[in-house]
Amino acid sequence: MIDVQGLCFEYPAKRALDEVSFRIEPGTVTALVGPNGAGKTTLLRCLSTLEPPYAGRIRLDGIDVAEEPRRARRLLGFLDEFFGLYDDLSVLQSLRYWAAAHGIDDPGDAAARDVAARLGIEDRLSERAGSLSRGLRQRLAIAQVIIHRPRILLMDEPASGLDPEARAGLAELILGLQAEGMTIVVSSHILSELEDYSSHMLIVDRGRIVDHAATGARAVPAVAGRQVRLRVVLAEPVAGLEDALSPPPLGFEIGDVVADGEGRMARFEFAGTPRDQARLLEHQIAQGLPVASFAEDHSSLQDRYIETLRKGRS
Amino acid sequence: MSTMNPEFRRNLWLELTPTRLVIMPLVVGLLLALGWMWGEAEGLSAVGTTAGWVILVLWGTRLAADGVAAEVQGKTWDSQRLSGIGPVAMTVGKLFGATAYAWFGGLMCIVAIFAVGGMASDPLGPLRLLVTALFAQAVALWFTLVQVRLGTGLRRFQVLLAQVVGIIASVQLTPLFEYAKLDIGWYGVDFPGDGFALFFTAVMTFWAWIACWRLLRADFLYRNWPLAFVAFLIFIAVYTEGLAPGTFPRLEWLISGAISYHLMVAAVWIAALIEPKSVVQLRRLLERLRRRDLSGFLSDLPCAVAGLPVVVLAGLFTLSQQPSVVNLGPQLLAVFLFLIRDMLLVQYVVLGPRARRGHTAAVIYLLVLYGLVPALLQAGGAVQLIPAFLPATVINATIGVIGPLIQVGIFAFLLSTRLVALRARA
Repeated sequence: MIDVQGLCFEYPAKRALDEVSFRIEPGTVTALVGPNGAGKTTLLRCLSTLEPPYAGRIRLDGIDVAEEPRRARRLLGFLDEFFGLYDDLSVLQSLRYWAAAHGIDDPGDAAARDVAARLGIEDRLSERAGSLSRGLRQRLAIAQVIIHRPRILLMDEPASGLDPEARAGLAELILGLQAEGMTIVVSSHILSELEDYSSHMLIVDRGRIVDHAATGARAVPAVAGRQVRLRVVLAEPVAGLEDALSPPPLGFEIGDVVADGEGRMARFEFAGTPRDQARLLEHQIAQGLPVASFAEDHSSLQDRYIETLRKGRS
Repeated sequence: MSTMNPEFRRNLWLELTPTRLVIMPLVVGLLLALGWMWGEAEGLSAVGTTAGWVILVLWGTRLAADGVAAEVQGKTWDSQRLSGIGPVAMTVGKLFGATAYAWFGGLMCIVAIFAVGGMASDPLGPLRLLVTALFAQAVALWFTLVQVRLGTGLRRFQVLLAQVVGIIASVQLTPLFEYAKLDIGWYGVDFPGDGFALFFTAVMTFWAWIACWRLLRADFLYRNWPLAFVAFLIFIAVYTEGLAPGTFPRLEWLISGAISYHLMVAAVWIAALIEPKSVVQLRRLLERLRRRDLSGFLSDLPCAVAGLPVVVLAGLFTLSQQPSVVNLGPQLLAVFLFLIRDMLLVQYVVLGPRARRGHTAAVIYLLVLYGLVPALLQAGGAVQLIPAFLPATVINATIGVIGPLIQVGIFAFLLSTRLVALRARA
């Protein structure tokens, strides 16, 4: 759904994005994470067609955003961290405006009322946007960006300034939109919340993609070919654990093996069937590895994020 | 579905509230009544013209400028850029929507003046007010967009500056109205002076709308070749060419060539000053050239650069048409060299460490070079050196060409060193 190739973005004295390439599949929720100044917001603004890249190509559902920005924008909804509302308009007027601005034929304000109901602000339609609380303003802002039912939703720090209840509501909303088939990219520093709804994590550091993989944190139905992250824990340390684990001569590949310093635990990406997973375990035991645990890695996003960043920087 | 332009409709919601719809007729009605009591139809027309100018030009320019500046400050501008509202609809929505309340009051004045038969001394007054308001508001919106793209200043300052530019642009034509008692021939059609000035303002209003549309296209990141600007330069040539026969017979050669050349240079000069500049833009432009991406290259090409070949052609054409009694060559060359020097100077200053203030600094340097230095030379008795800093080759043709040529070399060198330094930093 989102295909980025060789994306570069420069500020006068700094290259903010350097040869960034990745692909985001339809219907996924991707957590875009990275340290301050890593290039997350710049990347989101390039994806949303607000900033022209210095070089590279962005395709949204096959549409080149540089060639056809207007067509690409029909697919997009973008919620900026510092979004604005028309404070003097009512909630209904705001929604009617954005419906019309996106070219929606909306007799009887059906689209406006529908999106208001989805966001739980249907009882606020006559209130001025300027009189709403922070949480309700956030809901109105989201309603405005999804009123035209975009297929791609980009959100920059959407939970910023929200209370815990509103954050829980946001997570529910994101999962609901994903269930409707929307492809969502969320940039945030609050990794514990991203864990609730992200199916993938894209880590950016110093303008480069450090990691892009399934989070494995969410209970995804076991289907053939799905990508998970596996963790092997050994009963006793094994020297050269990375070499011992990869690559298996079983007719399928595994991702780069990342072992701890002791040689007692390792993680790697795996995209085979459950049967392949069983064969992999058999193979490791047959190799003489003292496997104490072999399972999907449910370590927190935060752990993975920090581990990946450290690995990338070393 | 409402077929009304959504941006226009949103502005109507904000501008035409019930209370305001009552207040405006009340205030305008009282003012017009006062005018009637002072001098019946003439009094009403005079008060209506003044009130109309205050509402439509003085206040209307502010509203037009604020139509975009408020969006940027309110952080709704990016959402508008991403919406399905195209540049044409946005231009119309901003120009006529944001100023809707001013037009509500201003049109009352204009209709009232028409209704009482207007002023006998100035039959074109109401029409002129209408056209001047359209022109001033369009210029104010255009200049706000220029500032938004340059990323300079605070909203209040941007609006004030755009308002001033809009008003000055419209006021500049007023002396023409007063002065032009003679008939003006334009492509064989005779206009009364004030009628021609009105016609010219209307044509320039069209170009101001085009300029707004083009800047919105650029801000929406549409592919934006500099065709509109080149067309404007050609319009200058066509316009001045049409003025020649009959109006100023003795200066026909000047009107048809040199004047249009100087006006073109002025247009390119202004474009060079107000277009956004960055080293990244330059690098991207060169990168697109290297990749032979012609469409991307033309889209990123600054209007000022695209205008240079047109200026050169106009200069060559003027030289080919000049009468044998004059030699325009040094003057045209000097003007062109000053243009290049200024383009290099502005780039050099804007690419400096304080980019946000670069344009202001560049304007100050240019004021020093064009104003202070010649004044000092004049005061010091070195009048012969003035052409090195002002395009006045009539004083000394050699210095008038060599002076700016040396400065072109200096600023080209300075700019190249700055580009090398920026490349090293990146």
